[in-house]
Amino acid sequence: DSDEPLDLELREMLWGFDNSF
Amino acid sequence: MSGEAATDPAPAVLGHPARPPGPETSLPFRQFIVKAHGRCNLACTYCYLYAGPDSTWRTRPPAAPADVLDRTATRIAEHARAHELTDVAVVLHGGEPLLAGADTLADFTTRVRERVPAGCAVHATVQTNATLLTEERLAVLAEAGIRVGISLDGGTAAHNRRRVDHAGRPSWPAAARGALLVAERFPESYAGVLTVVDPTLDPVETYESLLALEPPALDLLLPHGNWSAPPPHLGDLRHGDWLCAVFDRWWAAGRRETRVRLFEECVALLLGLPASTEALGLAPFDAVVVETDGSIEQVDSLKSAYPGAAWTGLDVFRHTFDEALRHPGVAARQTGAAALAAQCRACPLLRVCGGGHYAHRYRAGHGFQNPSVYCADLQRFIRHAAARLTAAAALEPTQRDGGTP
Repeated sequence: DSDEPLDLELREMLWGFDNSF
Repeated sequence: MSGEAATDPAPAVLGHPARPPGPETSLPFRQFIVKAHGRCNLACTYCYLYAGPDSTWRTRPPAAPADVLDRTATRIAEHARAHELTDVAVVLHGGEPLLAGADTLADFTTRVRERVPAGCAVHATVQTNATLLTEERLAVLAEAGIRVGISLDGGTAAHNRRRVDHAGRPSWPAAARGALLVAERFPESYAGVLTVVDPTLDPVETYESLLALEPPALDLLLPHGNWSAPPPHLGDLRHGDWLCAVFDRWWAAGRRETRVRLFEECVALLLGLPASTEALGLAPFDAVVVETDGSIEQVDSLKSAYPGAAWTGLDVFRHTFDEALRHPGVAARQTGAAALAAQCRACPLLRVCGGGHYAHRYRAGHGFQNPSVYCADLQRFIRHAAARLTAAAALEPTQRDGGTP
């Protein structure tokens, strides 16, 4: 029950591949 | 292929969104997933690679031959030089990469480091099921500067009941020995634990059992599935609720017991900070795979969609990684919201959700330009995290060291 709006260490490489670290 | 041409047939279905009009602005690859070994000593019942729709692994050599590894090291260095990269990640993957031998992994990593330009750091990780880890092998990996990521579904035998060997025997006793060996003897090499979410397990018990393995980081991965092959237990927001329960346990712990990638990247995205995960967000994806025969492919998760989904027709003997950047599947994952379905582009969660994992958007006959099959679960989780963050933002300030103001 999706149309509602969401209110805008955390860096250096950001590795986006999720099947490893 | 060891110097011969790729023989895979071009897949009948691509289904990747068209590149939007305008100049090509591909980002270079920075993550190189190298299949050191294409087989696994386990036969996990839910494995998307060996129990999924794609069977190209059967046609490839079990282990990457020396000439494939040598050529791959040269191609990585060539790409790093061409794009003046200051950092690249080398992920030694499989199958079970330790079947190739720790010395082979160390030699390959050393070769990459020797060939990349001065000033380019090589961050190496091996992703293993932990059953083959020994003190001797870990020492070889540590000496070569290779960190160790472990795949486990929890910290007990019951949690790992689906992770069995080819005779159906549980892998947990050997995996637990390996995981504890890393934690106790090689903590500086310990990268973390990857866990596939099983919504039939108690979420908090699963999380707490993983903490007992002392991982510096965890990631919680939604099982691969799509609209045409939905994942088990989809519906009633079971995956979303599972993630929310673990988030609350992690968030309210009073201290950061471990890094949880999915949660922390979600917080980053909610606050408008840079983030990078395949599961969320709109960051361009910059990983590429080299198979044991030298084929250049997209990441394995696509193989959960349809046979040949990761295929590019390129290989390290005849092609550069720059040529792979022009593949429509690679390009689609670098164009952000332009590659998403209209429903996603109009969604208020767009910049956080990002359409979810690319592989989870597939629908036969419609390609990948759809919402995630986990759309409702992702909404539940993201809104939950946003609510917790909003509540925390209303708390009183205190000292940075945790003392009272």
